[in-house]
Formats: sequence, structure tokens, C-alpha cells
Amino acid sequence: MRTRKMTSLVGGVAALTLLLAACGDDDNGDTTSDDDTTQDEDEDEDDEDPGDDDMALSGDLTVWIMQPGEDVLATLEDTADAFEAEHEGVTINYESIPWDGGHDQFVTAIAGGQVPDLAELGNTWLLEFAEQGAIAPVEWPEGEEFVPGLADSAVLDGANYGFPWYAGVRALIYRTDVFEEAGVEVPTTWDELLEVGDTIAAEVDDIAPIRAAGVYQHMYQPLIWGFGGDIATQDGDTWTPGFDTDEGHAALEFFNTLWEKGWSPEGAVQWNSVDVRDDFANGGAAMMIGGGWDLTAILGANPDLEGNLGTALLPAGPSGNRDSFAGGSHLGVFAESDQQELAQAYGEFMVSAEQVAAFTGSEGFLPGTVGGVEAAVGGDELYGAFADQYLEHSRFYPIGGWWGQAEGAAVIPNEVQKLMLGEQTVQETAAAIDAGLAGQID
Amino acid sequence: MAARRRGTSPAAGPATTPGAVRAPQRSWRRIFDNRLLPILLITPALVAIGGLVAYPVLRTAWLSLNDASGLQALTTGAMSFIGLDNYVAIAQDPDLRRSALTTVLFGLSCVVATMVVGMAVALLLNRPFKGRVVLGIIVLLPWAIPHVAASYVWQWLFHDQYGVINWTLSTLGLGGFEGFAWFNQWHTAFIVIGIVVVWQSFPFVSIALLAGLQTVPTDVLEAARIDGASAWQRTRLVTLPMLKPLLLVLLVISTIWDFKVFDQVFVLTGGGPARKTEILTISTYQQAFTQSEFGLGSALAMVLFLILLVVTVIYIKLVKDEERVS
Repeated sequence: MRTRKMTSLVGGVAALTLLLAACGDDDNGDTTSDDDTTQDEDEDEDDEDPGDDDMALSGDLTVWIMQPGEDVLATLEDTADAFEAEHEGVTINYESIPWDGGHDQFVTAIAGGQVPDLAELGNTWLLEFAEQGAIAPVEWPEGEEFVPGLADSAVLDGANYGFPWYAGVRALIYRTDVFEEAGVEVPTTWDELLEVGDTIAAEVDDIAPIRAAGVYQHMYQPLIWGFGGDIATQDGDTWTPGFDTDEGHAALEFFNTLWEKGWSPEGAVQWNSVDVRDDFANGGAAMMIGGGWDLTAILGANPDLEGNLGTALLPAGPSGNRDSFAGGSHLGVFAESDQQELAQAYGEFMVSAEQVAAFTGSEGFLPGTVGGVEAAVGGDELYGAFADQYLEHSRFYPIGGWWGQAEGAAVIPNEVQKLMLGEQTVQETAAAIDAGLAGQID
Repeated sequence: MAARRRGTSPAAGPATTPGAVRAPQRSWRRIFDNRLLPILLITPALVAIGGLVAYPVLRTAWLSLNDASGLQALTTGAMSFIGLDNYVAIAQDPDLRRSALTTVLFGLSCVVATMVVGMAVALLLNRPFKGRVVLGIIVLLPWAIPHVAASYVWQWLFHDQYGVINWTLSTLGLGGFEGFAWFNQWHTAFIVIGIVVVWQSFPFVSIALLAGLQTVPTDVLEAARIDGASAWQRTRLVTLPMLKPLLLVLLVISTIWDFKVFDQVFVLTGGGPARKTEILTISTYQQAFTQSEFGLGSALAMVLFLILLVVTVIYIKLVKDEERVS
């Protein structure tokens, strides 16, 4: 009697478990599946032969945009309407992809053959996917001058793989009221920044000079440029990582000094750029390295700071270099798309001067064309510094598919975190970074 | 149809098929009833299981034996067979070795904690008291919350500057917790991850054990009590042995779930700092999606699968041994 009850109980529990395990697994499934199914419908509607030049452009175009938000999406819809008005029979469909996990969403889409026609791709991703054959080469429109720092990251072996769309470049953002109180001037070199920091720490209460954040790689990776080195140098087909050099050691040493000043809380080892920005908006720090979009977000989060903020070019290192990373996005056409011509045409349209100015203006980014930049923010009191930084002092990371994967594996942040936690010296960190990068280069 | 004559027909076997001794047409029917119909009925389920379970597992096993790097491996099938080289690479990579070891140790710790907490709550809920039903419902809530949402909330609770936990601990006098960064060191990070995982896992164990506890016959417990057994002795010597099959099932399920944990670790630490809280599921994700190393990622998935297989076999053997002894 009892064993039968027990058996049926166990059987019942087992059945329930299987049911729950099935349900549980659904919750853990990829978030990409929803996007992909709507993808499918759009793709299936396209029956055109892409090689048919006689046909006027028509059909459906699926465009993936990274996390636009409502306002930006509205601007993009205007762009779509303008294009659709010129080309009857064309319908543009936008889909929003979050940045967090976006890279992996592209990987899954490409692996599964469920690619969009045109997509915004971070400029550290474009070449990685291009090398793997997922992106189709495009022709840049005649007469358009793209900003070198951004455009470089779209070119591989002489072919263009995307339309440089917009860039964000980071410069120095600081609190003018705190600087006044401490009686300091804006630092122009990293050494000056340390001095300014010491003065602020001594003179002003309740605010840290500047924070050192472990996962904010776009702040500490460009330091090596300031100190005269390079992340990796290319010699023909081979790349050599450059952190285990005097310049690399000096750059890491500087960052370590910034950390050991004790101006940042323990948890800053895990901070990324958003944490740094939130901290700054909350009045935690007097200076930060950030971009135009950070400035927009800070003013949005804390309107009290209006009028108390200033921007300046990134401090220069001992070598005189003050290059900042030109991070941005390109519009890439997917090789597996059925709508190559339409995608190319729409991509060109999106990066044309007036369309891109409307888009970037609303976000605090900068257009990918030189003319666009000057039109967008040239001369603006606050945002003008970003334009100067972008046009004259910006650079891209190593141009090669392996860099995207090195970023994904967080090779450099992992070692910098160990440095911050006191687990290795600067020399060991430099050697470990080079070893990690070398592993990715293969 | 024909009336059943139990036991009188010479050709009737244990399955008293009506009309077994009738004319040949009937045997088609019997074949259909006994062989074809069951197969037809099972086929949809088989197709589903085959397609959704067997195929992916076999494909993963196949990928793990290949050097499938880069997206071309999946889009064009460009991969080369390398046998067990991926597994050798895992054994030789210190980070991946540590990942496997961490998975086992962390998984087992979570299982023990889940079973202990689950059992305790089940024993509590088994007693009649006011508000018992309400408590039973509240106990289910952590399990019902999506893992990602729960992880973000707990991450905020354990925030070094603004988190409630640090504030509470330092207000209670433990000054060392002011601004304490839980996620900087792997052992403190795992404490937080463990809390979240156990918090979300114990409700299921509790409810299942509660159901089990309610099948334990009260007359045996009453007899034990009359014989002078204390509450703890009654639990240990009467209740637990009766629940052994259920406990075993729950242990196996808990182990599989806790070894496969991904969401909480991914959200809380992402495997950091510097890969120190990386477990096999995170490693698989990293290798497959950020590194596009599909062969190595598949091998890591197979390693986890094999570990779980070994654990399950050990458990089942333990039960078989128990049954033989008793």
C-alpha cells in the first residue's frame, strides 16, 4: 500500500519536474528568438532577384538599430518616411537591439541565417564579422568625406565594409564649480591632472577628484597612446601587442597611481562607464572621461548640474599625444540579405548630411562625415570640445577582426582588474595583457 | 464486440485479447492494437524529443570533436575533425580547468544548502499553525520571479555604496562592511550568487518535500512518539527513510539545476572579476558566442553533461545499494 503511494508520488513528482524543467528551460532561452521570427516574415516577402538592375528599388527592408530609444527612433522614422517617399514600393522596418548582448545576438543571427538586410554595427564588431564573411562590401558615396578615426574601422584589405554612421569620442568632463572652489585650472596633461586632483582632494569636501574604474576600458586603454605606445602594431600580416614596453608600463603605472590615490571606492574595480557616469551625476566626482552622450545623460539625470559643467580635450601624455578612442557605429549590409541593392541605397541615404545630423544631434553623438560634424556641433560651448577631439585627436583600436574578439574576452579589463586588486604588478599585468592579445591574434 | 471469456480460451495469454482464436482477419487487428497503434501514438512525442533534445545533443557532441571556429563553421560547415583535441585543450587551460572545478564545488554547495533549507521549510510547513497557507504561498514567490530580474535586485541589495545589506550590517555594528565590495573577491561574490540561487531553488524542494511529508502515515509517527522517540529521532529514523526515493529525485534534479546555473552568475558577476567566478555554463557562452569558438564551446557543454551524468549515476547507485541493504 505504502510503496504504491510512494511510487505514484514519486512518479507524480517526476512528471511535474519534467514539466517544470521544460518550462524552466523556456525562461532561460535566448532572447533573440523573438527578433528572429519577425525577421523571417520580412525576409520571406522578398522574392526579388538582387541582380536585376532594371527594377526600381522596391520591397521590404529590415534594419536593425542598436537601442535607439523613443526619440531617436522617431528621428529614424522620419528618415524612413523621406526615403519611402522617394521610392515607391519600399517599406523600411526597424528593429531595436539592446547593446548588452548585442554582439552575441549578431553572432546567433549570422549562425542561424536569420540576418537583417542592414544593421547598425559597433565599429569594433564590423571587421570581425566582415572577416568571417557575413558582411558585404559596399561602395562609399562619391564626394563624401568620412572622418578618418571612424572610417578606418570600416576598411579591411582595401574594401569598405560599412557606411561610417556616427561616432562618440570621449574627452574630459569636469565640474566648473568645484574647480572654482579649489582654485584650479583645467589640466592639459595627465601629470597636471594628478596635481589638480590632489588640490581638489585637499580643498573640497565630499567629492572625489576622479574615479578609476576597472571595466571602463575606453578610459584606460587609450592611455597607452598618450604615453607614446600602441595597443598593437601591424607589420605586414602580423600583429605585435605593445603593452609590455616602456610606454605600456608607464601607461599602466599611471592608471595604477590613479587607483592607489584612494579616490575611488573598492567597488570601482567592477565599474563600467555607466557606473562612472552615474557616480558623476550624483556628485561623486569632479572629473570624468566621457563622451557627448554621457554629458546628455548626466544633464538629464541631474538638471542641477546645468551651468556647472565644462568640457575640455583629453589630457595629453608625456609624448604629447592626446588621442581618444573613436567609438561608433557603421551601417553594414549583410552578405546573406536578399536586398543588397536596396540596403546599400538606404545605407547611403542614412549617412547623408541632413539625415545624420538630425539623428546624432538628438543623442550627443557625432556624424561620420567631416561636413556633418562641423554642421552639428562646431563651436558649441559644451559639445564643441568633442568635435575637436573627434576631428583632430581620435583613433581607432587595432584594425583587425581579432580585436573584436579580444574585447569580447575582456583580455585587457581582466588584467587591469587583477592589477587593481593588488594581485599582480604593473610589469606582470603588461606581460599578461600581451600574452592574452597574442592568444587572440592567432 | 465478442464477450470476454476469461481463462477459458486455450489461446488466451495474459493479455485477454477478445477473439484471439478467431479467423486470420482478426490478427491484423491485434497487430495493429498491440504494435502499430502504440507506435503511432508515441511518434509525435518521439519526433519532438528527437528534434528538440536528441538532435541538439548529438550535434553538440559532433561539434565538440571538430575545430569549428568562426561563424563560417556554422554558416558554411567549414570545420575540421580533430577528435578529442578540444577536450585536451580544456584540460590544459588553467582558466577552464578552474571553471570546471568551480562548477562542481559551487554546484554541490548550492545543492546542500537548497536541500537543507528546503527540508527545514517543509518540516515547518508540515505543522499546523495560523497563517500556514499564506506562508506556503509566500515561500513560492522567489521561485516564481524571473532569474534575471531577481539577480538585478540582489545585485543592487549587495551594492557596495548604496546597498541595503552593507548599510544594515554596518548599522548593526559590523563596521568592516561599510563600502564593502562583495563582488571584488570570488569567495564573497559566490556567497551572493549562492544566496540568490538557493533563494530561488528551495521553494520547489520545499513544496515537493511537503507533499512527501504528508504521505508519511501518522500512525507510525504516533507509535514512535509513544515509544519515546524525540522529534529529531522521529524525523531522522522514520520520516527521512520513508522519503528516500523522493529525496533522491530532488537531489538529482537540484544537482542538475544548480550545476547548470547561468542567469544569476551572468547578471551578478559575468564570470568576473577576471574570470574568477566563471563556471562551465559561462565558459561555454564565452567561448561559443564572444569568441566564436563553437567547437571548444560544445566541448565545454559536453564536459558539463558528462559531469552531470556521473553525478546522476552515483546517486542512482547509492539508492540501489540502499535498496539492496534494506
